[in-house]
Formats: sequence, C-alpha cells, structure tokens
Amino acid sequence: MAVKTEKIQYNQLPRPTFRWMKVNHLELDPLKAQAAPAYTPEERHDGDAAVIFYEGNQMPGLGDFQGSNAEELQKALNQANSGCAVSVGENQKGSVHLKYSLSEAMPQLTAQLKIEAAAHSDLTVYLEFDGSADDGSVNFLTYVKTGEGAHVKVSKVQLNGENVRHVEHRYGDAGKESTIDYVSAELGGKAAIVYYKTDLMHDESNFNSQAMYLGHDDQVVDFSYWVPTQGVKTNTDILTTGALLDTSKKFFRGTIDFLRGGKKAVGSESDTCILLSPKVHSISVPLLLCKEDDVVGNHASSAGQIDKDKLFYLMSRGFNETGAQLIIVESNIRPVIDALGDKDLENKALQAVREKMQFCRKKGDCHAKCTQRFPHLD
Amino acid sequence: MADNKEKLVDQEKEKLVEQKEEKIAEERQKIDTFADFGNMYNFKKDFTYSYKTDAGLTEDIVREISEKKHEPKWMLDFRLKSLDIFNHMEYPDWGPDISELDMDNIVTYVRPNAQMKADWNDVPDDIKDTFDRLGIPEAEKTSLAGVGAQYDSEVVYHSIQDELVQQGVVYTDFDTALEKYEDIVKAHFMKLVPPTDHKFAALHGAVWSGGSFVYVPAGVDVSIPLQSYFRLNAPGAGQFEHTMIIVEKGAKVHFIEGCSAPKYNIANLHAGCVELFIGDDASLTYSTIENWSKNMYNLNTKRAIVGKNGTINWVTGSFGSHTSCLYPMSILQGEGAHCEFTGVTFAGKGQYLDTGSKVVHNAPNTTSNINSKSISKSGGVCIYRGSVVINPPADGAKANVSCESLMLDEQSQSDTIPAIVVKNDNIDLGHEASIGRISDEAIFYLMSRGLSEDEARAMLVRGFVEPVSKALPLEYAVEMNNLINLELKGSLK
Repeated sequence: MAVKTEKIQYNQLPRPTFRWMKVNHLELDPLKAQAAPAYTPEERHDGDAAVIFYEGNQMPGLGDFQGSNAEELQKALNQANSGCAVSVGENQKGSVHLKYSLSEAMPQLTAQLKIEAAAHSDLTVYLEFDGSADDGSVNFLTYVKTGEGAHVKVSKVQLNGENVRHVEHRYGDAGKESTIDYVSAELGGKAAIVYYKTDLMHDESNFNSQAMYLGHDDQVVDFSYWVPTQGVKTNTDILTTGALLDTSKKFFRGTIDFLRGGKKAVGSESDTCILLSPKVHSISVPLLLCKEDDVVGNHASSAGQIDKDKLFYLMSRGFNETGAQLIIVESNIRPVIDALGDKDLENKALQAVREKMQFCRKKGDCHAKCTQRFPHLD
Repeated sequence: MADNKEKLVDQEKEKLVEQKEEKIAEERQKIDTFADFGNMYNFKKDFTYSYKTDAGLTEDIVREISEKKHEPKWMLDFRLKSLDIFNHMEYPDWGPDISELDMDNIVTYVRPNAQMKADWNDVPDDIKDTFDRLGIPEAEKTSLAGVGAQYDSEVVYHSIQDELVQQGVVYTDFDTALEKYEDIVKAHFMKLVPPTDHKFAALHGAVWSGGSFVYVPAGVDVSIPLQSYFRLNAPGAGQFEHTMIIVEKGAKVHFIEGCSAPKYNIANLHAGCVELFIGDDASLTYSTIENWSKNMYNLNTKRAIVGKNGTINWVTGSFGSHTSCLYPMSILQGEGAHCEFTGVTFAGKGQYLDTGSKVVHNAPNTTSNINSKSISKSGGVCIYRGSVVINPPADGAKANVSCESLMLDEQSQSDTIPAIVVKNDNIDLGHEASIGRISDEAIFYLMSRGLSEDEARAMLVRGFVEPVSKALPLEYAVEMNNLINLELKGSLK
C-alpha cells in the first residue's frame, strides 16, 4: 500500500479566499533530503562593499516573517550550508556579484544572504543561480536592511536545471527615505518559488520589484509579494511579466497592505502574462488591502495570446511566425532584463529566453527554417 | 439708454444668483429629506406567529418543518441529508468572522399569522401595513407584472398579471411550486447550489422555507419586472427562502428582489438560495436591493447557469446587514453565453460586507463583464472578493473585471481580493482595481461652483455609483439613491 505523503504548502496568501479555486497556496510533494557539504559561492565585489562568509545562523530576528514555507524557512535559518553577509558603510557605494551553482556533489543549497546598507549608502548585489542535480533544491533566505536614505538593488538571474526546486524567502526592512529595488529573471528550475515580504514602516520608503519569467514544459513559477506599508508617503511598485509555453503554470500573488497611518502612500501592482500554448495555466491573485483612506492603490492583471495585429505586422515585414513570436515575447520581458544592470547577467538571461523559446520550437519542424533565417537565435 | 442696459445686466445677474441659490437649496433639501428615510425600513411589528420551531438545529426540527409543510418524502430525505452535511462540514476558513453567530439561538422556522393570498385586502392588517410602508402594493400597481411578499418564513401574498398567465408564465411561491410542479422542482432543486457547496448551503438545504418560483416558457418576453420582497420581522430568527427561476429558450424576464428587517439586539440570519436556469438565447436580469438590518448575518448563495447565447445580468445594491457574504456566481455553459455584473456595496459603522462576483467560463466565445463599486465609511469594512475562471473549453472567451473602492474616512477599511484562473491560451482577460478616497481637487472644483463640502461629496458619491443606478428601473434607482443619501447623512467630513 502506497504511503500518503503530506504535501508542502508554499506561498500562502496573507488573506485567503475561496477554497475551491485552489489559489491560496501552492502545494508540492516534499523533496528527498540529501546530504550537502558546506558551500561558498563564487564572489567578486567592487567599491566599498564588504563581504563575509560565515557558518551557522547570523540572521537577525525576522519578527513574524514566515517565508514561503515556515518549515523551509527554519531550515534556512538553522541548517544553512552557506552563509554570506554583504554590507556597506554610511555614504559608501559598492557592488557584489555572487554565483551559486548546484552540482551532483552539491545537490541542495540551503543558504542565507544578509544585506545591510548603512545610511545614505548605495549597494547593488548581483545574484546568479545555475547548475543542476537530481532532486536538487535551493532554499535561499535573503534579508535586506536599508538605513536612512540608502539604496539597495538586488538583481537576480535564476538558471537552475530542470530537476531543481528553487525556493527563495526574501525579507526587506526599508529605512526612512530608502529604496529597495529587486530585479529578477526567473528562468530555471522545475519549480521557481519566490516569496517577498518588504516592510515599508518608515516615511518615504520605497519598494520596487520587476520580475520576468518564461515557463516551459511542466515548470511552475510562483511569485508571492506582501508589502505592508505604514510609513507616510511610501511607494510600492510591483511588476511581473512573462510568457508560458507547453504545460507550464504561473501563479502571481501580490498583496499591497495599506495599514492605518500610512498616509499619502502609493502602491501599484501589475501582472502580465502571454499565453503561448493551449495547456498553460495562468493564475493571478492581486490583492489590495486598505485601512487608510489617504492612499492611492491600483492593480492590473492581463492574460492573453500574442496580439495578432503585432504578429501580422512583423510577419508582413518578412519574419516567420516563430521569429515574430520571439520578438514580441522578448519585447515584453526586455525592460526587466535590461534593468538587471549587468551585461553578463543580461546576456545570460536573454540567451536562456531564446533557448527556451527554441526548446519549444524544436519540437516542431519550423526550427531549421527559423534558425536559418535568424542565426542569432540558435 | 446706458442706464437701462446696466439695469438689465443687474437684473440678469440677480436672476442668476437667485437661480444658483435655489439650486443649492434644492441640493440641501435632497439630503435633509432623507432624515426619516431609515424609518421606512426600521420599524417593528409585534412578533406574532401561528407556529414556530424551537431555536437551534436538530433532526426533529427539520422533520417538523417538513411535516408542517406536507412535503413529499424525497424533500424530507433531502433535508436530512443536508443536515448531515451541515453537521460534518467546517465553517469557511476565509472571509468575515462569524463566530458570534450561534445556530443554537436561531429559530429556523416562523410561520406568520396569515395564509398566502392573492389580494392585499385579505392579508392581515399588520402584515399588509408592513408592506404598504415598504411601498410594495403601490409599486405593484405602477411598475410590476407580479409580486411575491414573504413575511418571516412564509409567503403571504403572491400575484401575477393574467396576461402573463395566459402566456404560460408561472410566478408563484415555492411551496405551491413544489406541490404543482413537483417534477420540475425535483429536477432543479439545489442542483446548481448543492448542499455540499458550503456549510450555509447545507443549512439552507436542511431548513429552507418560502421563496419564489418563476417559469418563463420559450420565446416569452416578460417586459415588466416581477418582484419578490422578503421581510424578516421575528427577532432571533432565520430566513431561508429558495428562489428558482427557469427561463426557457429565447425568453426574457427581469426579476427584482428586495429585502429588509427591523433592527434587534440579537443576531438574525439570512441564508437564502437563488438558482437561475437560463436557456439558449434567453435573458434574465436579476436585480437586488438588499437593506437588511444591521444585526443580520446575510450568508446568501446565488448562482446562474447560462445556455448558448444566453445572458445573465446581475444588478445588486448591498447596503444592510451586520455581516454579508454574497458572491453571485455565473456559470457560462453554452457557447456565446454572457454575464454582466454591476454591483455597489456601501458599508457603514459596524458593518462587514464581503461581496463580489464569480464567473466560470465553460464554453467557447463566452464573455463576462464585472463592474463593482464599494464605499466604506465610519469604520465600515467593504471587501470585494471575486473570481474569474476560464476553463480549457472556453476558446475565445473574454473577461473584464473592474473594481473601484472609495473610502470616506480614515476609520474604514476596503480590500479587494480578486482571483483569476486561466486555463486556455485563446482568451482575452483584463482586470483592474483601484482604491482611494474622494479627490480633493474634485471637491474643490464643486465647492468653487457654490456647493458646500457635504453636498459636493454627496454628489461625487452619487456619481461614483451611477453605473449601478442606471442599470436599475427608475423607481429602484431612486430607492438606491435614497439609501445612499441616508447612509451619507451626517457622516461626511
């Protein structure tokens, strides 16, 4: 008799809704636990940024932050095989590149990344994830703390292999007049699950997130955001855009939580999805919770096929359908890739997009024609 | 000559000023007029009845209700099965807090001191007076083709124009329908909203009583609306009416539902159920002005299934209740079926109104358009909770959702919780929502034109809900505007 295994629930919606829709969380089978050695990522840094690698848990208290899944978060806190602290001092500026690679020798990464920017500093952290392993997993906790007037940008390109479950819990605490910027390209993994919570409790603090994805095969991409705002004149801007191929699924759960006292706050969230196959699933749950009247909150969500007029126009200019589709998808996600701010990461993300589009196309007979006409796509 | 010209200009100016003052006085009067409007709904009659069950929910009570109504056995079995589901089902783990609602204190069946009549003169005076004060007999004379009036658990008056009867239209109370059209009722009863749907659907299946049954034969256009009005007078009681409307191929009807109750210090419960079956090329407009008292838990379920090229048009105004959970659902089952939802929710002090709309696209080229507005004030909580599901067969489906929330002060709360699931690529879906307060610029503009701040705000709120009032017949649009004025009175900063 088969033993029934309990599923793991990721990315619980802060305010659940109808159960029959099955959108309140993502449910996946548990992963097989594997031994993983201590791990140090590839690293380089510029300017005034300081980087320290550590063992054990050096995270500060995270309050009621539950992460994508409370148990997974506890593992990242107490059983991490990689720890890294990045910081800049007051009025300093710097950048750090970190690359985390999975392999059969290092199939499971459980890691902490602590980013602290002192007052009026400017710090950019570039994160790259790649590599694969059977039943591989990434369980990554990122903590971002900005001092008054500081600016932190985290640019991430995730290119894990097709057997990897990539989970990231990201908690941000934005200081007065500071800004936390996230730019993410979630392109790899069998499941890419990201949970971002950023507290905007201080006046004029800002949170911006741009994320893109391209789902293929039976990949699951799950974005969850929760931004409680209580500071005066805070600004929240969440943009998620991408496309789905084959039988892939995308979940977007965005919650902007305007708390009482957060006057003059502005928040917007947008989720755009291009549907490239009849069997894809696009799920969108954009929440606006509002206990303060003096705010402006907006959300927008759209899903549909590629605009036929655009396709016709490009094809009338000599592109075949595949080439035209690729151009349109690229134009949709390109602003996010361009915002990564690092040429090497941008190229890797772009290359991954093109490979994925062709991975799909290779299944048809149009691939040869397409690559003959557009050799740069191969 | 020049003097005469100046004199004429002065006279013209004076005239303009007078006109402006008259206009302002008119606006002021509009708001003041509604000082007593609330009394129209919040008046109590002595609690008299011919029979009532004990408070609480037991198998004996369910059997008692069925026996009193002389129901067929299948209905009793259905009730008992529903009771079993109710006893085993969990309360929802989302939505408003309903922990203060204690089913042990709710009386599920109260039969008034009246039999159902087809002439208002035969209805007992105190009950007739209730409906007179609510304006129902008057509306029947001027703008309705049929009226049903329910008092507590039973229907006390039902009528329909002869012309419609001759065309084969049936509009009757649900007990009569169960007796006369048992096969139709059995084939449809709680098929759209099965008792397993949620705990309060199960409760409804167990203790339902009263309600209306409408049958419109193929091709018949009922051009004048039908209205059912539900009045709950008994303190601590529940109302569980069942409404079933079957609109056959190519037929058309507009059904209006109204409800109210006086306010008591103990909780009342409304767990009605509405099932709408709309055939191919048929059209149904279902309008609701809900103004339950502020001690009412309104946990109602409404659902429509729409055939090929059919249309369901929901128009709802939710003003009353202590707590509401109301999400009319449209299942677009036939190719080209269409759903239109236009709703406004107004939550004041102590109210938690969790409302919205659900649409399921199950067939090609189906379309839906959801337009929801909400206003919260004086600590009231308005939640828009909606869902759009586009299933794989719905090739070419189009869905559009727009929800706007207005907060009139800093004590209130307004949330939007939409969920969208798309399982087909050949679709077009758009969703947008916004939350905020009345723009200071707009108030400034109106005040610069001579309106006071209160008047300017009231005018902007009326403008905000205009899409809903425009969708209602004139008399009901006026009623809705009156309710809005009543809600706004004294609350504007």
